[in-house]
Amino acid sequence: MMQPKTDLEEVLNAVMVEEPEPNYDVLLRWSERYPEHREALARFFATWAIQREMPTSPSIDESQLASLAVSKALNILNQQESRTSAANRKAQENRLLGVCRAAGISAQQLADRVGLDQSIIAKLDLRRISEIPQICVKRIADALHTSVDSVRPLITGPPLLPAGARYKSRTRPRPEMEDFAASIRSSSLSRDLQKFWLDAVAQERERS
Amino acid sequence: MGESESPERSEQAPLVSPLVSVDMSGKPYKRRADVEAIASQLLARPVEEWLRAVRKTGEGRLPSEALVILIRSINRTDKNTLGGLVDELSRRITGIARKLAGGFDPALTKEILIEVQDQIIERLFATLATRQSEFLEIAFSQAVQKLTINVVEKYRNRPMLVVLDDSDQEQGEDKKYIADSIPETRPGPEEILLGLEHQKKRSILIAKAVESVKDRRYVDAVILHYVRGWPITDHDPTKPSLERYFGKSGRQIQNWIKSALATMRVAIGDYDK
Repeated sequence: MMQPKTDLEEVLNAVMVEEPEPNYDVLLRWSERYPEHREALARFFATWAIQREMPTSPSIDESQLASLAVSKALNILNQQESRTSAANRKAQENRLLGVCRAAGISAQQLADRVGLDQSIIAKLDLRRISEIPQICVKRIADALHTSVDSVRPLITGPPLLPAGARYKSRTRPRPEMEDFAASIRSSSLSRDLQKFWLDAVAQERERS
Repeated sequence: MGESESPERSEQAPLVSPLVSVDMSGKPYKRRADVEAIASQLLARPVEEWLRAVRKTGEGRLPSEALVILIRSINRTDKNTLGGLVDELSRRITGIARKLAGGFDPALTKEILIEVQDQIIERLFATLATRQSEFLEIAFSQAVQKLTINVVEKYRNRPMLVVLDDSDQEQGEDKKYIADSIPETRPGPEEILLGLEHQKKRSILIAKAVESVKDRRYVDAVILHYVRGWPITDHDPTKPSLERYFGKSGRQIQNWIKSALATMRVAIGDYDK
């Protein structure tokens, strides 16, 4: 059976920790131990041996190198911060309430403009509602000054768990789904509004 | 012994998070105890004290591995302290790397040092811990040395702007060297070889040879053969030799060595004057 190939960098780390001098007999020992890296080890030992003997350059401006190091470090951190913010922004862009915030509209304002209550908006944001009538999608799009096509994936994608939700079971719980009509019936909406939405659902069912 | 100290230590220990990598034999990576102890002590103190600690020299000098832990642990919004710590780390990297980055044009040496430094900093701020990033907390000096050797190797293998014509030496004829025409008041070949055995004299000989030889490989061959014991040829294909390393014939390498030794004879003669 073939031995798994050892990572060259790991072998070189071990060489540096264990060996004080890059002598030929030491190279032979490591080459026998890791024949798959024989050539790389020979090149490494040769470079090490040669550079150990080379005169050190006297004209190195340590302060200049240190400034470059600080700039490099700050650049990396800035890039990491931008990536994190972009990822957060992207996550927000994929959520109904994230898009609302970006449009400067609160959840309550959205609920008022569409004719729903906050509990249904929260459920739509978590994609927990099925059989959403077209008119609802259209009203949300109008309220957000966007297209129906951009709104649909925000409320009909795979259901989400609330942020920070904790659970004891070993498997991740499946979020409970509810159809649109049921969520209207359990909402705090007025009788008139409830009737409006239930009629819209019935009409859509008839059409399909 | 030291029982009263134990609770304090155990309270401080969790401040340094454990490493996640394992070595080739499957053992978890482990920092030196003194490194963890001093890093824990400092992490429990205000950051203003960290900068004072890293600037200490002599016996109280902070191990570089602990400096790496501090940089990784600092609140990244504190850019001033972070800058101060990275500044100190850079000076330490330069101190280690420059010893292995010599023998080149100063601009090239600087380029090499910057590349080594950049690679260390990238590992320092890696978002995911790897063996190479965690090795900095185990053996910082060795990690820098290894990276420097890797970078130098890459630079040495870069295509040269001027291709040296060494076809004359492929003919196998022994060349006439400058040293052959110099009166015998200069040191003989035996004295040169003896000089190569002594560190101080060797440094002078090699420095002079690097300045004067037509091709750096001549000096490289002398170092590998006389200082580190590489054979010029070896019939066993699994064993490294100068022939295999340079990809040239044994005869040609012998000529390189002769040429480099001759240059050293001239140089040491001048030095002795």
